[in-house]
Amino acid sequence: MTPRHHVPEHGLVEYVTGACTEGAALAVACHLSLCPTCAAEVAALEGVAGTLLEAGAGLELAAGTLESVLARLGGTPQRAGHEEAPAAPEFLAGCGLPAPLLRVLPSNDRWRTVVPGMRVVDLPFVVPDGAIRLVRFKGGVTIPFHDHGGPEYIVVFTGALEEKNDGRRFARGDVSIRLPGERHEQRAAPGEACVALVVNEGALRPLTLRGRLLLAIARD
Amino acid sequence: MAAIARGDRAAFTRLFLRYAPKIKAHLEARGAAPGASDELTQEVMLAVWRKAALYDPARGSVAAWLYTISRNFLFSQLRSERRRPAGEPGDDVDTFPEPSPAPTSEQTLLSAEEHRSLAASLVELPPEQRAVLQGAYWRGQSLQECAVEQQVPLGTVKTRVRLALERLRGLMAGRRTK
Repeated sequence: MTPRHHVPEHGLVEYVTGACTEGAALAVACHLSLCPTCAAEVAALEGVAGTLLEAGAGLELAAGTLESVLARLGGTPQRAGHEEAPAAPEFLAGCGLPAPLLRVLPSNDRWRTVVPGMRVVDLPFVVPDGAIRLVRFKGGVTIPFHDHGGPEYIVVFTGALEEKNDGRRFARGDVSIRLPGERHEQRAAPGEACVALVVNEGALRPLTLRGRLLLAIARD
Repeated sequence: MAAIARGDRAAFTRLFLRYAPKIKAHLEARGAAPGASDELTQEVMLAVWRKAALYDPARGSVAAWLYTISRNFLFSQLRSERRRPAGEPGDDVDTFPEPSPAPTSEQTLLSAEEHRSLAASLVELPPEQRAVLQGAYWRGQSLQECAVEQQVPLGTVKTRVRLALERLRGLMAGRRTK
């Protein structure tokens, strides 16, 4: 099954040019690993980038720059055909995590419970007021109605997340992007746990009493 | 690139002479201080040497790959500047999250011929569409920054990017069938 919810074209452009945040880049890279359609689009956008580089007028380098680089080359370049991603730790086996996520996993050996039904692995990024986490939602749990203090990017790896408002369903490889002011309530589909990358570039703002209570008891 | 991956310095020198000046211009366009751009270009070219074996011609042109190496380098510079006090050495160049290789389809392959036709197509774009591509790709602006600079709403910039890319595809397809 290929994903049904994709990164919009302008998001892919900002990924290719490097104009997006680290969190957005991680989310896009995870989606691309699971979505041949967007990966092909990115390859085409990189082709445009290459053409612009090729067509650009050069600037003369300071004398001696080439010699200085040659002196620093050392021996033969590395050989590997591809940069291998590390294997998933045992407690995450079966989550089908893509390489970009495996490369940023800390050395934890377990999930950390934040609130009942929701466990996380904190990823090593610094986001003021926000968080970048791998989250495991127990099947059937709801995420109460909330708003976002900054953009939110979710990429689903196992199970599914459902939007309460419009019934849209996000399964493996799907991306959900929400901006501040876009309020929603979600539910992990009953059954299999939903494991997803959740990037919040601002604080979540619960809009219900239950949400505020959950936030109050949540362990950071 | 294959020769460079085998450690061929002459091949690396040819690549350097052809692309290093363009990379320097690109880095300056993206905000590198003129005094620092020679040093940064050196770092990018060293990364090219180290990673030469990772270049896969099935995934795109050499120029496209060099663009991504420069982008990853700038991205990691920014990241380490935000993290650590000034003066300390930065990370290696690998902090930009690259996707694991997805199955490449025929359409992603950009031959040298298509490269030339794409370059020709760029010239045929309306100026405002070319300007957003230049701003985003060459200078690394976010679309929001393009919008501010060109004094148009963000939605207009998104539309121009979409139209520019559609048009490039159309122009290229037209050339291919000729």
